[in-house]
Amino acid sequence: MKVSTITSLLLIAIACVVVLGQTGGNKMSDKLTVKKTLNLAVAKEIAAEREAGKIIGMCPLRLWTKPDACIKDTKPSQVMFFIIKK
Amino acid sequence: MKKIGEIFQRLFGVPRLVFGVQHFLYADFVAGLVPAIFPARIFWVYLTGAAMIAAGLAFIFNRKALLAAALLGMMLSMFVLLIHIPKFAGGDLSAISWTRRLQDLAIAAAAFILAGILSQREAKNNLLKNISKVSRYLFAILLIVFGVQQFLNPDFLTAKVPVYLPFRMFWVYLTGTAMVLTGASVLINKKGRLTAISLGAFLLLINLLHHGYLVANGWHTPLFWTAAMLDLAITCGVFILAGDLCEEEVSL
Repeated sequence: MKVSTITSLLLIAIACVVVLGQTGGNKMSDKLTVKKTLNLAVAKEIAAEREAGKIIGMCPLRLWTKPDACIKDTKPSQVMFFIIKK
Repeated sequence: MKKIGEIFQRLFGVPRLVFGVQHFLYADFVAGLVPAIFPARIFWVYLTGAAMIAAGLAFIFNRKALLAAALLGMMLSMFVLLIHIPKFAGGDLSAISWTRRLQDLAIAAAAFILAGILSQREAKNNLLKNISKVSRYLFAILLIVFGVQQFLNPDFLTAKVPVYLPFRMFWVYLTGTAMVLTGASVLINKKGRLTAISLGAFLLLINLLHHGYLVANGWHTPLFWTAAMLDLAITCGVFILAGDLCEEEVSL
């Protein structure tokens, strides 16, 4: 087998590990749940707006995937900036 | 250097392949990023995902890589025009958005540089060669901007220093200085190849230390993988830039 083929297969394997690694655990939450108190007001407002279908995109990604960790680490101003409304 | 360049050309395909698959895994989320003027948003998500997977495979297997690089550069440029600029015009001046839009622009520039290298080897398409030359200087300017960001905005950096390293800010500033120097070297056409190779090796190391640590502590966190892939794409871009400068030296 040629070196280039082995390199290609190795890189494909790396990509597979990256994809499988992120899909194996917590699934992306469809509903935004807020438990921590830090930035709670902002997070609740965002959650309500999303429920009402006003929010169509939002960053940081952690607000979708790990709301608790996001609320703990992210300043309200940083969250507020990334809401895109219809 | 040609061999190293080819390895990073192939490695450049890995983030693209991963991002492509992510478009299918997180289609609902990605659909939110599609501009509101587009009908059938989910269709565009799947189309973009499929295009990214095809580009990733083309780079990894080194088949139709020239076409893939040119199309990828065009697609990312479209992202900048249709997603990032409207967000900017809409008042989104946040630090993270600046970082993201400049990173997309840098990866687009890297794709065009790669297209230029491959085009040069195959001795065709002068337009691509010219776009590639412009992209080289654009990438150099973006390196300077990323470098300055290391000093101004340590929350949303392109080159992240591992949290466990001692004298962390020293490393942050050193990385910033290295980026500025590399960008400037390429712009003034002096020692550009050497600085680009050094910066690429340095970025590869700190990315490995930073993202390796994060992924080890959050194996199933998509954000960590996405950030790692983004930084890998930029690092590959630096090596592609170095490869481009080498090709130019050979052809002179």
